[in-house]
Amino acid sequence: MFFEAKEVTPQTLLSEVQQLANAKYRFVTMSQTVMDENTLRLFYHFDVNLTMSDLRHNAELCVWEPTDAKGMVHLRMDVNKNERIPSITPIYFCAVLVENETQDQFGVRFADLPLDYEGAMFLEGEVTHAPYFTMTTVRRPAAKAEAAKDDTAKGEKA
Amino acid sequence: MSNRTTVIPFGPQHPVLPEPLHIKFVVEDETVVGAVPQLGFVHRGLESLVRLKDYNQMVFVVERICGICSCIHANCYCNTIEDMMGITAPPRAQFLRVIWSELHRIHSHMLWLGLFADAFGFESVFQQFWRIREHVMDICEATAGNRVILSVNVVGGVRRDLSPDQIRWMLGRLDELEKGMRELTRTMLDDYTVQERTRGIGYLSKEDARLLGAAGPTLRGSGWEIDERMHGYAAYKDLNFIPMVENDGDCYARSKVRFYEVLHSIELIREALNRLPESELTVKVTGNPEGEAIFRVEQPRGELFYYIRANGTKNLERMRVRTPTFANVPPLLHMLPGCKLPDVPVIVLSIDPCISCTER
Repeated sequence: MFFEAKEVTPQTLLSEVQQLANAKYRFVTMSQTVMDENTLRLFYHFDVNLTMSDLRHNAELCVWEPTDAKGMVHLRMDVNKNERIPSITPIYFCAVLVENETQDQFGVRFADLPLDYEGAMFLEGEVTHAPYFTMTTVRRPAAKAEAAKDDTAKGEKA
Repeated sequence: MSNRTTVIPFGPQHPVLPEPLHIKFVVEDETVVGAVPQLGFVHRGLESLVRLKDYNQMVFVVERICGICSCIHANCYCNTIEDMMGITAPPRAQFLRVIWSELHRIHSHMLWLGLFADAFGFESVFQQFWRIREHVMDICEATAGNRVILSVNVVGGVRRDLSPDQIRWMLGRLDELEKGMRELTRTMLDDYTVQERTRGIGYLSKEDARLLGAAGPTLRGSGWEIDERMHGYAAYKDLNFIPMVENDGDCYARSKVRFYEVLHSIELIREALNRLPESELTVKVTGNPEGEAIFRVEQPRGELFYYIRANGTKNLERMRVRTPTFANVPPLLHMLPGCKLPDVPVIVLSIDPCISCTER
């Protein structure tokens, strides 16, 4: 489902999140996407009690939607990768893992995390940047040429 | 730290854990006073594969995020892409997606019920659950070609169909499965020793469950009637689905939720099989996805969340997966302090941890 997010800034993030906490929203998760070399875009996804019991017990009144749009709120924040990002863990402690994961995967830092793995939650401490493996694509023509060379060498031996 | 404080490592290799998870427990005598998790033993960086695989190939990658709910990962992924491309899978495909998803839920819950019994030392119940579970595994193998990784979803529909003979055979096997489950009801839910080991253990209040972002049976065991299937994705909107909810918030409540979900899933599969509509299995998919979208479905362990950003090329720009165990780790860290050391395996297992999902 396509979704609309409310734009927030590092200065207004905590007050917006506090408002949602006061309204009894549940923190679902955060999504991250790289916009450019210096900018990371963060989405904060929340939902409220989805009033599903009402729908179920009054099935004839139930208006099903093709996908869930009800009750979800999304905040969008663009941050500079070199600046510390405010952590929402004082309000929602459960964000601690996803904020640490963001540190691991995007090399950013959150301020005042209660449990800070310092970019090494998934990765070992000595790994300085993620991903710690390189992805390569097999070059088929070269591989074929190599195999043909091997076959020739085997023939010569025989 | 006082003189009585000791740090005990738990995992990554532990008899109660099917997957590697390490937790450092700070204990005073027999009481846990703190817990710090260490992840990363099965981190594979699967999200980043979107740069190498096109959006159709990614279906097979997301199926391998987690073995035990492979089909549901693919279901969520395909639904997200279909939403972005403005297509809807045919009705028969929607029903078949529900059938295979519920089969996965049953076999995941039964695996968990067995492991849970094993965690508090009830070996014979463990064996019984796993014996009965073979009915589901046989159905999966006969209908999807594999016992665990069910590669049935594609963008735009499903790849396999069920014949009338298969449906009749499945209904028979489901009857046997239900009979076996009902025979175990008293042992699992009424037995004195089971209740001694699970009642009042690992308590999570309703408010804490919300604040700590719990998902799935952990959330419903604390009294929240939140189940993504209520939104009616796939064919759930056409089926008589009700969420299973318990109010006690302890390990017993969570096991009860899962036990009843198995029985309810059997009913859902029967209903879906009896009402399976006639239609094509796939719709034609042309072009590439563009924009950003989210989708949520209910895995056996809880709410699964996908965020996808695409730019109109065959490769997605970003895929983010939030799995239910990832959401249930903070509640677990809240439940552990204050418990006795022998209860730790029971509490850890009560969230049904899936580390492959958590770390991706």
